[in-house]
Amino acid sequence: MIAYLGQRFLSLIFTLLLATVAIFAMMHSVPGGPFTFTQGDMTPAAMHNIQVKYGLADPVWQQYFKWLWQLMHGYLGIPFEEPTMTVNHLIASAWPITLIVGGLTITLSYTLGLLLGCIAALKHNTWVDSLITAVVSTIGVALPNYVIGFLFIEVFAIRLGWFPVGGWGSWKDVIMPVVAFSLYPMALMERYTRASTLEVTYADYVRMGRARGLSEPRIVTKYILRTSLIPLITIMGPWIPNILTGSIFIEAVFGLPGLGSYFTTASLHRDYPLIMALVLIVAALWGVCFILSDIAYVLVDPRVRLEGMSR
Amino acid sequence: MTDELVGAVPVVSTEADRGGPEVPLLEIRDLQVSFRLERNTIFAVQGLSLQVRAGERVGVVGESGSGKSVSALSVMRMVPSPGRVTGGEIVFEGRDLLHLSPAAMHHIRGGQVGLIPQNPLTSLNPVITIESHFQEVLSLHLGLSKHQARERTIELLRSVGIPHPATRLQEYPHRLSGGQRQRVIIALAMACQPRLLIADEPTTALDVTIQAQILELIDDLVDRSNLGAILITHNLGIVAGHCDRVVVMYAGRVMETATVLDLFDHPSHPYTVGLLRCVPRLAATRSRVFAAIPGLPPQVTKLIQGCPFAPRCERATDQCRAETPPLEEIAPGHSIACWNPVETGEKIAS
Amino acid sequence: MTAVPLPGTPAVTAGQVSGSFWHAAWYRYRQNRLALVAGGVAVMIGLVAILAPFIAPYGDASIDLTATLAGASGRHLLGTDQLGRDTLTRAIWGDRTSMTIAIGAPAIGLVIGVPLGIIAGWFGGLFDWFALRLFELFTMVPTILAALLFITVFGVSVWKLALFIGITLWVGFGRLARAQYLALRDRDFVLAARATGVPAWRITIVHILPNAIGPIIVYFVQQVPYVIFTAAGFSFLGLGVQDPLADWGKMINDSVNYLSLDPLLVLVPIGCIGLACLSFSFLGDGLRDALDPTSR
Repeated sequence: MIAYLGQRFLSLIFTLLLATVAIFAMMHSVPGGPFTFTQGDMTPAAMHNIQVKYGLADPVWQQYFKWLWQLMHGYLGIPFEEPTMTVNHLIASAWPITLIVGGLTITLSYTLGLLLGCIAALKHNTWVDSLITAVVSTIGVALPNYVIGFLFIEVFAIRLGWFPVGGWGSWKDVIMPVVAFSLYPMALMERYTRASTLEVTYADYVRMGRARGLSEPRIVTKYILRTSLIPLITIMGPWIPNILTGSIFIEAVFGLPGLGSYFTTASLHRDYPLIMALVLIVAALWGVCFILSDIAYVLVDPRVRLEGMSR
Repeated sequence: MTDELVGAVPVVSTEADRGGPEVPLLEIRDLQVSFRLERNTIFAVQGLSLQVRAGERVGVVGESGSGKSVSALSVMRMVPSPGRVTGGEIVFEGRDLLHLSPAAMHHIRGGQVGLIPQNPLTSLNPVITIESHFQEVLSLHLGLSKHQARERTIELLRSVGIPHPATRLQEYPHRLSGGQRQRVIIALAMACQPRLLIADEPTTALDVTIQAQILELIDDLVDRSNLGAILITHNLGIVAGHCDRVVVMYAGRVMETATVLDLFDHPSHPYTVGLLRCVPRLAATRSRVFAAIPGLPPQVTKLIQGCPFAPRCERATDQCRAETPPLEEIAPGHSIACWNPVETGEKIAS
Repeated sequence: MTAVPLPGTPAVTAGQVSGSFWHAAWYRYRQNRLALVAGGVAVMIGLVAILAPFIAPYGDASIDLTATLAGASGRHLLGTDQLGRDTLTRAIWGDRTSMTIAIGAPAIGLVIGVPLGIIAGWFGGLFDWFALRLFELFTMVPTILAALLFITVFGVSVWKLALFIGITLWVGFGRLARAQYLALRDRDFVLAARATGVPAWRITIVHILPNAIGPIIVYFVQQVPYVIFTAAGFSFLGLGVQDPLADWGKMINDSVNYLSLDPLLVLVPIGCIGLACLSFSFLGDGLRDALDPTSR
């Protein structure tokens, strides 16, 4: 087990580094640096000075290693657009917002999705199933979450005045973005849960459980759900980093000063330190979630115990 | 029930080769099961009748699609939807099973009637331990406490030949081999001391070497506890070795029913004769071609006029094709449904 | 008991996709009314995209400054926007743009991903290991962020959007193809082909591919709504299609401020996006149920 974890961890680091190299190379492959757009016209000399100041005149590979070195010391650099702050600082101020929205979204969409999926599967071939499936597939899939968000604002904020239009001040600002953001993951979760549970419902051992006279509630909990929910872990895990790093679109629509918005502006302005930091965070988060969900799977499914794990 | 199923009156003699009281443990009369699909209806069982007495093992033989498994499932009222029992009676120890309340039915399943399914590899819940499997039924049907259940489980596992039963309690099913799993399932079926065992092709998915052991195990249990047993199989060898009486089914109907000795000595229905002919013989000379019954069994989507076996039968007459033969007794304890049976003494071409 | 065929009846081959498989699938599909309707709508959307130059009432960049923000009228069936562009025209040309991206991106993903998946699934071993690492690598960065990155580095145009989004999709196709090939590689019919000396390339393409293609097609169709979202989203942020081209996301973006003056401006593109997403989504579901009825 430890060996397995160690190996995963190492391969993760390896892939992470590869990712950063790729992105770094990509960003530097195109002419025009971070200052060609933002500072307007400048004499080449002035431009050169700025570049030296930010270390952009060095060869690319040297820049990369410098960055890597700084990273090992926990230092993510200085964002070009806000030279008075550090990237660490910027991220620290923006990420909590994204985390809150993301965390709430995960909770809402996962629980609702699981619940609805189970109900739909257990009531297979009845109107309950048809209703849930129809509603959920339509809602989740019809419109992009930012369009829904936009409609929410239009209806609930502007027309009805129940919620503020945007920004980040009170708890009310959280509700609309979270709901809009949750619809799609919830729909997906419902779908997968339903599919997984349906598969198990018709399994031999469920039939045999019934043949032994076990009560229906027991069959549902211990025979059906216990097995059908396991594969969902592999799905739930990888979505978490995606949601936690925020939807760019949602943050744009609702004016939330989170990570997503920084990503957009950083991209537009070729703010290398910021971009690299953001990509790194996302990738690392993804890697961690992946490993965690692997572990969770092994813990929960007795069929998948790893070699070396004795009783 | 349609007019075509005339004369399907069960006539089984009151004498059985093995001892047992006069009143049968289980009596199925004229069972009909059909599956209502989108485009058509499949008449899976049309008029099955059989009896099982305590201590008696009845074999039900037939090809795939003959309706034998469905019949067994109907006894437990577990025919998978969209199948439904559409006619007939199933009487177990004097009670009409088809009209029992769900609660009472739950008690019958596992408590009075045990099912041994075909595929041991997928018939145990993969996420609960062996001990849990037993504990569930033992507390449900016999009200045993955890401690008592554990003792009994060890006993049961031992009785089906699982070595070191106490160490296997905490294991999960996937750690056991196919043969072991089948033994566990048999133990589970026996756990609450049922009166009737239904074994649906219990050895089909197992190695030949294990098959023999499992069948002997079942025999042993039936003997010791004086159970009634229904053994469903397509393998005549198993029937010969482990059954007392046989029911031969084809296309949802009974073609012939007899004691095992009678069936093998004097098979009268052309289908049975054909089946026996198909069994390869070790003593055959090299140039022998494997015999087979040409054609495929029908999928019964309409109630057929005439004998269902007629299209494949060498002896079919016009009457066979036009009228459905009723099941009639031709000798004590031996009934067939045929207009043109094979006479005793007629050579079975070998 | 194996069946010996009656003289005159054909033997039945089991386990392999044959002409009758597609017939059966088509039959099942026809039974599903929702899928039929969705399919019809999707086809229509596609036709509009192809025929845009012929059916749009105005040219793709025509501006009529005398009729800005006009409501629906005879000359402008759905009204005009603040620059005097006819909404219906923009919607039709937007259809073409959106569809180009929506079909082009998954196509690119398929072209990259499926061959890689086939190699990984068929050869296994080191190839597979390597492919899995690649999958991991590309999954690490969420697709939207990755596409965003590409856009900011390489600029944007309709084809570039299709390309970038397409590149982020390849992993899904790759995984799917790999899973299919891993599963089918050990089937009896493959064994039979190998035993009779059929070369590997022929087996993978001629024998296995028709069996594997079902889920791949379904996946393809299921990506379309996602791509429409994403492309429109980028336009919404100002990072997508640029003027004077139209696409539905851009239309929303352009009209956001005029919502109270002329709601049609926003509702039309929203309606188009919604219709396209729904129809392709149900089409995908219908295809999945038709090609694999066991997946209920």
